[in-house]
Amino acid sequence: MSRRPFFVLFGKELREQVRSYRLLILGLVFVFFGLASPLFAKFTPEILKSVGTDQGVTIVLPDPTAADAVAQYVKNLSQIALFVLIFLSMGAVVAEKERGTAVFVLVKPASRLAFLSAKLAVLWAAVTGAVVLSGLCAYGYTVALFQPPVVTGFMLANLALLLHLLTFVTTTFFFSALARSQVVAGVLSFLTWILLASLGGLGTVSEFLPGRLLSAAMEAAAGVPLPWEPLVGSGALIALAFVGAVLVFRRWEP
Amino acid sequence: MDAIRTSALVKSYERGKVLALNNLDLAVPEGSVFGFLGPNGAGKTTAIKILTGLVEPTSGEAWVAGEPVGNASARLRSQIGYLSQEPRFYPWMTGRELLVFAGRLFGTGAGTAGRRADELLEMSGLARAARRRVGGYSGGMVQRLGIAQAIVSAPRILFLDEPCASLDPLGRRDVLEFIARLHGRTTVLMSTHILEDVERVCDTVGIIDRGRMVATAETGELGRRFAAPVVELEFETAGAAAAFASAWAEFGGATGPSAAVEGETVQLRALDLAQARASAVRLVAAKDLPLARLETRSASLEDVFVRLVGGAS
Repeated sequence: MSRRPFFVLFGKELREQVRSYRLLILGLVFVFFGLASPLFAKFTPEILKSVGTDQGVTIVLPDPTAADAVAQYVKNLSQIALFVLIFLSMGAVVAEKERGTAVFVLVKPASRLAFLSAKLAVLWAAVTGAVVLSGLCAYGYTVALFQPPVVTGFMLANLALLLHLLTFVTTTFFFSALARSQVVAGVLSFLTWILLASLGGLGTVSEFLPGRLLSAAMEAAAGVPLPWEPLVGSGALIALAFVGAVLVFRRWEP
Repeated sequence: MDAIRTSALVKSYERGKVLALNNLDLAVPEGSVFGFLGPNGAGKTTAIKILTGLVEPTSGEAWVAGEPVGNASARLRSQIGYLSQEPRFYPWMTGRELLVFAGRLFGTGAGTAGRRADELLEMSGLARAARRRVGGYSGGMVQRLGIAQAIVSAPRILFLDEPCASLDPLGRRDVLEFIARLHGRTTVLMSTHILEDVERVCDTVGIIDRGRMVATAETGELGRRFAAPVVELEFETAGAAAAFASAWAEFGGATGPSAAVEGETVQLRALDLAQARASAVRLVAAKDLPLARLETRSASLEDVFVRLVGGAS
């Protein structure tokens, strides 16, 4: 694969993300949850207590800690932010197939592999940037509202969270290369997310699933090292999804 | 030497139920402007998609610029330009950005690609819209931008799939003049179902029908080879035309040239034009029919086209 078309396509993808406001939306969503998660962790018990008092019920809740803030952050980013992420990336390949713009690129000396790699690289870069921004916001507010979390633990937690998000972005990317419409790509991506989440109770197998990365992220913030199983499992899933995307897109005919 | 060649090219869909190309044999000489003519659904677009590496053939072989065709061949794609039937571009790019992007995909540096883009925008009459987003372009402007991006790398072989579709008469004239100027320098394969366009710019014509090449020849020679010349008689009344046709059938019998009646006009197709004309004149005089006009002409591309694919369309 010649590297030059890859960089030209990478530049085009990046500009498209900016001009379609997808990068802005992604950034805003992640920054919002980065800022809001420690706030939710801090004030949710107080809100619940005040609601209970108004109704004559005494609710006893432990005082929130930095660990609660991290847990809230991981939950928000792995649920609502991931939902937005799938929504924004489900058209990555299929939209170009539907609109006919893929043909314009694919008759030029840019390989189908370069076409896909550039798209995925920009998606990954966007998600990584969004997680970094979100992490910085979450760390700042956690420090301001609670005790400062251990920096290395917090970074490992973000790493696990990032890998979780990248896994689902890449499976969405695979379905985008496979499907004939954005709706189908989106539905298949959400179903995969639900399916993998529902396999959490499968004993040893669940240790390798990306969902395990979320509990690992929360534990990492408390100083527990990341387990290797979900790292390997998610890495394998990413590799499988990308290779699958390349294989199905090679066979695609406009 | 042939710039484009195919041998027994087959493309089927739906597990062989739909046969888009049926053993297509095609040869396009280097430097020629080849008119790829056929009715809608004949297989023109499928053939072009195979030749540009977008689609894999079911069987058979194809070569473009000496390279075997396949979607993995970047070397092949660096030598071709392609305008699709309904060109679609990134609506968020400006016209200039699109041409620079297209040029850079061929490995050109940013500066050179920019200069080439400006040159092409000027040539295609889009210079004033260069910094407007493509999403706001009219159909004709998109078509002209499509031709500009197809020649951004000064390709050795240019594939144009219905290049005059969605163009107004002036735009169509400009595009045809542009294609004619490429003659001898670039091999052009132009698919169309507009016979007039082929007659204006193509030096070689191939007629495809139901996935098979039914005729290939130089444009001027096609009429002589594949359709008989025509004697056309126009009478003052439709009744006279019908009377002539009836008398002609009796006169010529089953083996003579056939007469086709349409209103006041009768067309006779005959290999021996002089004899047919003399016989027609004698018959008109003998029956004392009111003749308004008699004309003889060689077969047009339309005559050839109707004869070769008329049954299908």
